[in-house]
Amino acid sequence: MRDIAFGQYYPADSVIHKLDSRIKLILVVVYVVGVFLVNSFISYIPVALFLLSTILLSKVSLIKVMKSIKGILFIIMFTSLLNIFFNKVDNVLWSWGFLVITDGGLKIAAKLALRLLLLVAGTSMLTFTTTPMGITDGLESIMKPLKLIKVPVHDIAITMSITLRFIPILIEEIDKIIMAQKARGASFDTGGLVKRIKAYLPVLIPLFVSAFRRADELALAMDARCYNATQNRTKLKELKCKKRDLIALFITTIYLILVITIPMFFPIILDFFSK
Amino acid sequence: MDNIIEINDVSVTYQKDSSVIHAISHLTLNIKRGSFVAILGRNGSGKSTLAKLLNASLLPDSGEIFVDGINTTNEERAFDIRSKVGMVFQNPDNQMVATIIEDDLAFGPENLGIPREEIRKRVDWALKTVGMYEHRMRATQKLSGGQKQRVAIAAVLAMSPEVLILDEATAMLDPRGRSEVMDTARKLNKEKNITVVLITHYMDEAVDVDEIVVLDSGCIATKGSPLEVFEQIDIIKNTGLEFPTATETSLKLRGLGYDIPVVLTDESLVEALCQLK
Amino acid sequence: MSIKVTNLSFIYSPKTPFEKVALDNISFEIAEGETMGIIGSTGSGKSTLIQHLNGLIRTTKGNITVCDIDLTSKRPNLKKLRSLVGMLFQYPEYQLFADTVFKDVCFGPLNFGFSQKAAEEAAEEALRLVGLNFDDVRDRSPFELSGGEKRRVAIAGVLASKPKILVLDEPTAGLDPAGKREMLDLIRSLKGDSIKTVIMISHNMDEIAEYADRVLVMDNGKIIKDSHPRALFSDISMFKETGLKLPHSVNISTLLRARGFEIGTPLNINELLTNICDRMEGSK
Repeated sequence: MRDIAFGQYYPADSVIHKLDSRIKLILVVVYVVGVFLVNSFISYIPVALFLLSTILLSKVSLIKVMKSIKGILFIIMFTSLLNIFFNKVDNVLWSWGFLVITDGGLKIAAKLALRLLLLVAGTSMLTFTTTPMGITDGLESIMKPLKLIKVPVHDIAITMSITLRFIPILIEEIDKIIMAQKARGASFDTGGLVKRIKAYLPVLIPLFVSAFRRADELALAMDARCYNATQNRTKLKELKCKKRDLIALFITTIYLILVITIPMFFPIILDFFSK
Repeated sequence: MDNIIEINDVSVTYQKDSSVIHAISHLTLNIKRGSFVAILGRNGSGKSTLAKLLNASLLPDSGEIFVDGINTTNEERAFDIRSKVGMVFQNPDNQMVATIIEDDLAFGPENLGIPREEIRKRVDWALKTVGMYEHRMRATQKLSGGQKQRVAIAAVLAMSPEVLILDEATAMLDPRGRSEVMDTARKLNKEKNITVVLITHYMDEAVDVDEIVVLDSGCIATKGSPLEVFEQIDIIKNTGLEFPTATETSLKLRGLGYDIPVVLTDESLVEALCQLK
Repeated sequence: MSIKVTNLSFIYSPKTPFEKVALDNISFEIAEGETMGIIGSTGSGKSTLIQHLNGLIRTTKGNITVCDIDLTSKRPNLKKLRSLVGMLFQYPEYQLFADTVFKDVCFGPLNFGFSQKAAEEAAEEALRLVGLNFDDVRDRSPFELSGGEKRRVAIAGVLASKPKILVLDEPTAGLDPAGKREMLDLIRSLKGDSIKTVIMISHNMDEIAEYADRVLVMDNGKIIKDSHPRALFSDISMFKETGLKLPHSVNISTLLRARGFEIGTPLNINELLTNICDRMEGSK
């Protein structure tokens, strides 16, 4: 479990890292909308190009991006298999008993797998290039108008930041507790569902006890560092839109237009070249 | 030297199973500005309660505590006190808020509403002081235990404190991490004139401090220079402490009739033995 | 009840750019009756090594035989192995979960197939063995005990399964001086009747010098030394290289040697005292 790369910051000196985190949040939303608007294979081209250029510009190693996908590979394979067998569209390619594979089913499965891959790889580009503090600062800034209706925007942001920080710590803790209970003869992979859930109690209870203890200590430590001392909290890192942010926004707009229009223009382009 | 902390007849009690427990009982203690003080005592002797009293996390049931002249019961000045008295706790993982080191350091000054340029300066200065500047953009999670605690000390420094309290801050570290933290604390005390209050179970860490305070059941069992304290054999034994090896050896040799002084470190024991020879 | 490890290697995340060699071709044997100390800096592979000893990490390269159970076989009897090798992790109090101390201590024996009655008897015996007042603690919640008591309950939880080999990962970490002393005395008193072999990881060289009768020194996944503590601490060149500290008694004798004052290599304060007195005889 420990080598899940999703959600980790990858320090590098790149244009993408330097973008305003609010802009990056907007870009990710636009990118995700783009991925969901895709309805033909041809429209994946602008999406893939957009993602690839972002990765190259960000100087994040391709291996690291691949690793972020590795975590959800199982989900992708599982949904693909379901889609292959449950979508019976067009020509039957192969059948065995109730299992039928059609070319339409294959297409749907492939599209969905691509969509998931692009989604995860794209969103993890945000976390690779933006520190959790940057993301929460960005969210806080975007949500600022909500302060007017008394939403505790800053508290929400700091809670998110702390959650992100403690995920790897708690994962490591789960590993340790599982080992300790296994050493006391506990087994987690035998018996029916109820038995298995029950088997996890000796892991979950110590985990909760420890999480509460950590929360307690953290609250004390935050108080000791003057949390809530003033309403006029300052920020070390100022969010400022610069020229590069506007350019990024502009490029992303083009990307969205391309994703939408490419299926319409594609026949025309094909036509043009075949002449 | 004037007193940075004055504790006058302070008591703290709490209820446990229908009986009243004195965590701190009529304790009076002054801590001199710029001194390095170790607080020793077994688990449950009141050390951590005392630490919480010093930064107004906990208020006394009776008695008064003054930090740099401010009464800790003065609620309006609570944050002044906390920025003057920085605390580093035992578990390095449970005191960091941010994932990236420099973001974590900024948390305190940001809370105080300090201007951005000033925060930048303080963060950089604090990181350089504890020797972590080149790591400032790294994730806190990837550091060794000793490095994490140095970052925690830097996070306190960024609030420009008068007092640094290390509440068993070395307990979870390996020997290398422990000496990193101790070296940093000594350096801050000597070079930046920061008062250090060290709460520890390691006697080795207390042999070169200015003053040792031994707590037992919420009271001061004894206090004084390390030599004065470790000479009191009965008190050390009755309060659940132990002697540094060199001290114990010198005491036992004296008991056997050898004419050597009570010593605190391996080096001084060797020196004393060579004198004798 | 012996342990034999030959050519054991272990790599985290193999065949990825993030692979890390945790154990590098390790071989050693531990005979029944030994108290083995394992030392080394953080990240040297100590914890990975002991997790192999009761099959918590499956062997991928090399051979391990523990109490005649071959861990490289296809389906080793892990239940039996884990009942024979009691493992106490760092800060073991964090594994307590049941609503009473008694139930928590029964957890191990019940998992290993003890009958309810046998498990309860074993739990009671174990709680008494670790020095807790059985009638006082049995129905209390483990979470309301003091730190030292919690750790004793955790140890009882391991002992209740009646292991033959006890493996401890920094058993004294985080305890106060008196708690440390009591813990070490407890471990020493446990060895004998039912527990034959003790393996202990520690960062505290004074503890290792005093309690172990053999020491493995690990560095970067390799065993760089395997010897009796006296032989180990007589050769101090290694300590400078690995950044490990010397026990105080050895440090004092080494400093004395540099001043032309030879008192051998004392492993604890009593030996130190005796050796100094022998050498000083007459200069009183």
